[in-house]
Formats: sequence, structure tokens, C-alpha cells
Amino acid sequence: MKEMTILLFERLGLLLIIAFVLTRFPGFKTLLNREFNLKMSLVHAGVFGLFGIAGTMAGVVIDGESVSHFAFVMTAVEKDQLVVSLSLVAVVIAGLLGGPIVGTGAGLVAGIHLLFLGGVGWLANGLVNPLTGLLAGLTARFFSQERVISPLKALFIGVFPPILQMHLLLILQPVGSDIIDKIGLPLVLSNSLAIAIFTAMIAIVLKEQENEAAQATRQALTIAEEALPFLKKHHSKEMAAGLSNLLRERLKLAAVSVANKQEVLAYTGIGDDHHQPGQPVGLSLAHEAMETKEMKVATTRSQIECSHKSCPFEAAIMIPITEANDVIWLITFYFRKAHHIRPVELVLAQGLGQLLSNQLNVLAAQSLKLHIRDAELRNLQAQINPHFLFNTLHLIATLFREDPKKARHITVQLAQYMRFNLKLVSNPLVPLEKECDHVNAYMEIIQARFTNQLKIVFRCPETIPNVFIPPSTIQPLVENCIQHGLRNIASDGKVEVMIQQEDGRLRVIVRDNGCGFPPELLNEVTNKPLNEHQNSGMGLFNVNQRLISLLGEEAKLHVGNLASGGSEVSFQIPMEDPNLKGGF
Amino acid sequence: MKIHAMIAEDELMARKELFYLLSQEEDVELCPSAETGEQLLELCSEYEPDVIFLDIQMPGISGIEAAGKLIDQAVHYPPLFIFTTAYDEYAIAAFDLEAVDYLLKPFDELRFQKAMKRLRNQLRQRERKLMEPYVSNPKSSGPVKLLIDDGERTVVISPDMIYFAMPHKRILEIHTKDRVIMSRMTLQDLEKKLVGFPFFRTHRSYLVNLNYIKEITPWFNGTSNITLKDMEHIQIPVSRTARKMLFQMFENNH
Repeated sequence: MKEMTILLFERLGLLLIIAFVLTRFPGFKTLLNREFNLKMSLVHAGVFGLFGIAGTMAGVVIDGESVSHFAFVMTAVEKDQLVVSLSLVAVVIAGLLGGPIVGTGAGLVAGIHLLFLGGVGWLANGLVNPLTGLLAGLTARFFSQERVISPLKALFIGVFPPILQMHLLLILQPVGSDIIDKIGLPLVLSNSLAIAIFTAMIAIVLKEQENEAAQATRQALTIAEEALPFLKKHHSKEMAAGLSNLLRERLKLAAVSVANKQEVLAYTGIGDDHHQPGQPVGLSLAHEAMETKEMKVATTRSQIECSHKSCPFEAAIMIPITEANDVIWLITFYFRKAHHIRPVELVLAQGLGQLLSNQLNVLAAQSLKLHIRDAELRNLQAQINPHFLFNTLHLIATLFREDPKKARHITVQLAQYMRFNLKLVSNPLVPLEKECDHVNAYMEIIQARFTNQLKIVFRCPETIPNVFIPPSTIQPLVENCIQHGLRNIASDGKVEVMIQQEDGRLRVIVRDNGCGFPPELLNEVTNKPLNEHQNSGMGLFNVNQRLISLLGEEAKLHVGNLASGGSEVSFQIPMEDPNLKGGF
Repeated sequence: MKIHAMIAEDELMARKELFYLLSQEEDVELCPSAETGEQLLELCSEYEPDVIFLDIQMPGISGIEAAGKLIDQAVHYPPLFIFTTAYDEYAIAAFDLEAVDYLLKPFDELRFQKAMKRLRNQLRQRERKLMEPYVSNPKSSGPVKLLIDDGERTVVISPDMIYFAMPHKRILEIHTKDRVIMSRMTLQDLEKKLVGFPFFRTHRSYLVNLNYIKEITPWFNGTSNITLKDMEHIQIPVSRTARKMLFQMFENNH
């Protein structure tokens, strides 16, 4: 019995080698994913049936009471010989992985083979296989939530088929119970252990696969995220350089290039003696990739089309990046040897291409949204406050009689004010000087209207710095002072407007000596449109929104009350921001 | 008939414009101008203009609010209002206050003339109403006694004993020939109790028994002072509007 056990284990070792080879077949994956159709089920049944036949052949033949020959079971046996088959391992696994159909099918194939072999237990041997397959398949249903049955459970399940086989042997062809004694325990032991090992093997394969996929996915996602700051850059060369460096470092590639439709924008890695930014994109495969919007792979030197003698590259992956369904860049991964391109690289490249394209689209949508919002807000801002307009016209009407010269002056100021407002709709940014003129025109008109009620002081550097700023950002702050801060002040009101340069930043401060903001409004006034007073409650909110959307969070309005009474509203903008140099 | 007009406007030039336009009208006499809502309330009780050219947007109390207050405070009838504004978003509020007109800045001269015409018409109508006989309540005849709580006791008094009443620091002083009854009731409460008796509000804070009026002396700016019988030392002010009504009453009934 001891010898029998050892013998069977040796044979099972051979069988497991075959099983290992099986797990390497691509079709094996569909079994793990449990995606079956009838055709695939039949194929699987066939494969496992063959595996079962191999199991039978790896078994031994018992002659009477002793093991007669140790050779593989290749031919039919004598009438008094008993085939001890290991086919049940294959059939159980077929059932567990593939369900009743695959299990029964594999069992039938293995069983028919056993029937042909003949011998003492031919009927029992033949019947036990399909029966086991069916039972194992049905058992698998209880474990359907697990992708692979755990080895311990498999060990337990593996105990039963040999027992069933012994039963059938005893029922159908009463052989001597001493044979059962001899082969029973070894069969149970070897079968269950082999099934357990096999499931463990599958679990390892699966984990391996999943780990690899997970790692590739994680890497792609990380890179896509890290690429975001570069994608946000407005300058395409800077962005391309950043992106190519990042990709080369993270993916440990020989070289990476980023090109637009015409030329290479950035190149990093080996071979940079003759692959340089500024070169036209010459590869026909690259053009093909851009036209079809599909990834292309070059695996020979001729496909790389590099005329340079010592070009180190043999292979490349070309990934088109699209924005709004239009290819805008082509990223190329270079490889020294074709075999450096593994499937993982391909999947990763494809995934990265999609992720980067998606991100570009999201960024484009965001910036479009911001620009639309900005245009909307400018439109609102451009609507001249009717009170302001008609009160000014009323003033001019009076001045014609009282002071014709001044009437002319104020008319000119109003014209300037209105001209600026009309242009507001079309310009996201204006030179600071124009903005100052606008504030001046507004101030002159207001001063003329409220001669003895308030005074506006405008302090700016003698030479106004050459910066661009969102139009009509200062005037609404002054207007807010007059309409809210000085609302109840009938005399000695004062508004101060200060424009200062401070280490590379432009600071604009507007102060008044009025009633200040009500404390409950201090935080709200810039974040919510306050509609209690038509046209004016929008002012601070509108300016704040435009500053933030065009120049970012750091340009936002700072609102506060002064200890001496009155309020102060200020904002800062960077003077060297390339965004502000007519980048629109 | 002179029209007493007042300008309420916070912008200097806009005030000048109205001043100019109104000074072209021969029948208009201008009161001093108000620059804020608060100032308007003060000047109004002093000068009692017939009409106020009222700017809606002013620091502090807005034109609409000021007009509402003036209407609430009026003893006999409030001044008429012509609103002036740059933008016609307040037309409905002005309509609610029964404004004579609503002038949009800058003023069109023809439109201004039309407003003045409307104003004259309404003032004439008011005048005509004053001419109608003063009808006293016919139900209340015969001696009726008045119960007045002075805080400690309830004093029984007949209306014809009251000479006049005036509030002083939230306490109503009811003057009879030889004593003063102090009560927590308001002048309005007393006026209601005395409906049908010959009592008249000569001023926001004076209710006077017509039967005791001895003489009416003109004071400045269309106002007058009343001296009562037996109380020569006390001068009771009569507002300009009240004076007109008073004379009308005497002419019709006495």
C-alpha cells in the first residue's frame, strides 16, 4: 500500500506538469473568468477530457493483487487486470472550474477511453468519470462567488470521487475487497492532494496576472495624474518636455519623444545626438497612427526609418493623443530591442494614451467653461447702470446752463466710460492704463455729481506699469464704496484708490470712510451675488469671480473693515504672469 | 394762489436744475431744499410745503420712505409729491403713494409743464374740498360726559369744559379753565372721543375747542397763532394748512 501511494504520487507529479502547461494556454483565462458559451464549453470539455486520458495513461495496471507493470497504460489490458486511473483529477477540476457541462463532457471523454481499455473494473471506471464530472460541476455552483475554490475545499471535495469509484467497483464488478484495500486509500490521498495542488496553482496564476494588470493600471493612473501639471501649461514646448521627461523616468524607457502633427516638440533619452526637437515627424507609421488615431508599433529598424547609422533603436510604440477628437500629439516610446516590448508595455501605452487624451479633454472643457463664465460676467458688467447713465445725463443737462465748459468735459468722460464698457464684452484683458482711464472717467463724473458730498483720491505710480488686467475690475470697487459704504454719508465721504507695485505684484486697494460692511456680509459679499440692490449687489461678486477664473485663487478679492471705520477691498495680481501678456 | 414747493435732492446740480425750472413758474414759492431724507422730514414740518419734488435715491431715508412718513404724520392732509428719478423702477411705489407725477431725469421741459399742470389741478381740487361746509356729527348732541383716566382716578368731564389739549413728554395735558388733567391717552384717542364736538387740530400736537378761540394772529410763512378766551398768556400754533381749513370752517359754519 505504501509503494502504491508513492507510485501514484510520482505519477501525479507528471500529471501536474501537464496541468501547469494547460494553465499557460490563453484559452485557460476564459475558464477563470467563467465566460462560457457552448462552443467554448465543448472545447474545454475536450481539453480536460484529453487531460483525463493523460491521467489514465499515467496510472498503473494491477494484475490480481500486485502491480504488474509500471509502464504507462497505452494499450488495452487483459480481462483480469484493473486499470488504476488518475483521470478523476482532471475531471474534478474540469467540473469545478467549468461547471456541469464541462465536467460531464471531460468525464465522458475520459470514461469512454477507460471503457476501451477494458479490464476488470471497465464499467465502473467508465461510469465514475462522467458522474464525477457532473457532481463536481454541480458542487462548483455552491462556490460560484469564488473565482477559484480554495485549495482546502478542493482537498475535501477531492476525497469523494475515489470513494465513489470504489463503491462502483464493488457494486458493478465485485472484485476482491483486498484490491479496494490496496488501492482505496492511496487513490483518495493522491486524488485529493492533486486537486488541491492544482487549484492552488490556478490561484497563483490568477494572482500573478491580476498583480501585473493592477500594477500596470496603477502606474498608468499615477503617470496620468503626474502629467496633469504639464498638460495645464499653455506653452506647448514646456508641456512636451515635461511630459517626455516624466514618461521616460517612470517607465524606464530608452527614449521618449513628444511631437505635434508637424514637428518633434521634445525628445529625451539615448540617441539624442540625432533625434532632436524641431525635427519634422517623418515616419510613415507615425502619420498612420495620427490619421487612424490608433496606436502603432514598429518592431524593425526599417519601420523606424532612421537614416543614422548608429541609431540605437529597433522598436517603438507610437501613441496618438487626441483632444476633442482631433489628434494633437504623438508620443513615441523608443526601445533598443523589439523584445523589450512586452504585452504589458503595449497595454500600458494604450491605456496611457487614453488617459492623457481624457485629461486633455477635461482640461479643455474646464477652460472653455471658465471662458464662457468670464464672458458672461463681463457681459453683465458691461450693462451700464441706468441710474448712473441717466443721472449723468441729467447732470450734463444742468451743466449746459450752469457751466458749459464742464458740460463738455463730462460728456467726453461719459463717452469714454461707455466706450470702455462696450469693449468690455470682447476683451478678457486690457492694459492697466486703459483700466485707469476708465476709473478716472468714472471718478470725474461721480465727483461732478456729488461735489460737496464726497471726494475720490486716485493714487497710482507716475508711469503706469505695462500690465494687463481683467477689464472693469477697479471701477466696480469704487462704485461699491459709493453705493454701499457711503450710502448714508451726506458729506465728507472719501474714497481712496491706490495702485502699488510690490515685489513683482500689482496691488490695488480701494478704501472708503463709510459705514463698512455689515459683519454678516463680510464673507458672503465676494462669494454670492447679493441681489438686494439691482445692479450693485453683483459688483464685488462679479469682480471676484472674474479675477479668480482668469488669474487663479491668489488674485481673489480681500474684503475687510478698517479700524477707523469704513471698508477696504484689495486684490493682487502677478506682474510677470505670461497669462497676462495677451495669451488669449 | 401761491404754490409752496420744496426740493429734496442729494445732488447739487440736480437741485440747481429744479430750482431753475421752478423759479420760471410765477406762482411757485420755493422753500429751502433738503439734501437728505432726514432733512426733508425736519424742513417739512417747519415749512409745510404744498408739493415736494422728491428724489427717490438719497442717502439715509430714501424718497419713497420719506414720503410714506410724511403721509403718516400728516394731521389734516399731507403734501403732494412729484417724484424725480433717473430710472423708472419705482413707478409702482410712487403710484401707491398717490404721487402727482413721476419725472424722469433728465427732465423734458414739456413733460415738466405737464406735471406742473397736474399739480395745479390737484391743488385746486383740494381747495375746493376745503370750501365744502364743515359738517359736524349730527348724532352727538346734548350734554355728554367724558371719562378720563389720569392714572389715579377717573375724572368725569364735559367736552365743553375742555379748552385745548396737547401732549407733553408722552403725557397728554388736557386744559380746562382752571386745571390741567394729565392722562396717558394720546391726542388721537381724545380726538376720536370728541368727534362731533367743535374741536380742531390746529397743529400736529394741539387740539383746540373752537368755541374758546378769541383771536388769530398771523405768524410768519403762512402760519398763525391762536389766543384762547380766559388764557391770553398761551399761544397755540396753527399750521399753514390748518389755518386755511380753520378760516373755511368759520366762514361756512359760524
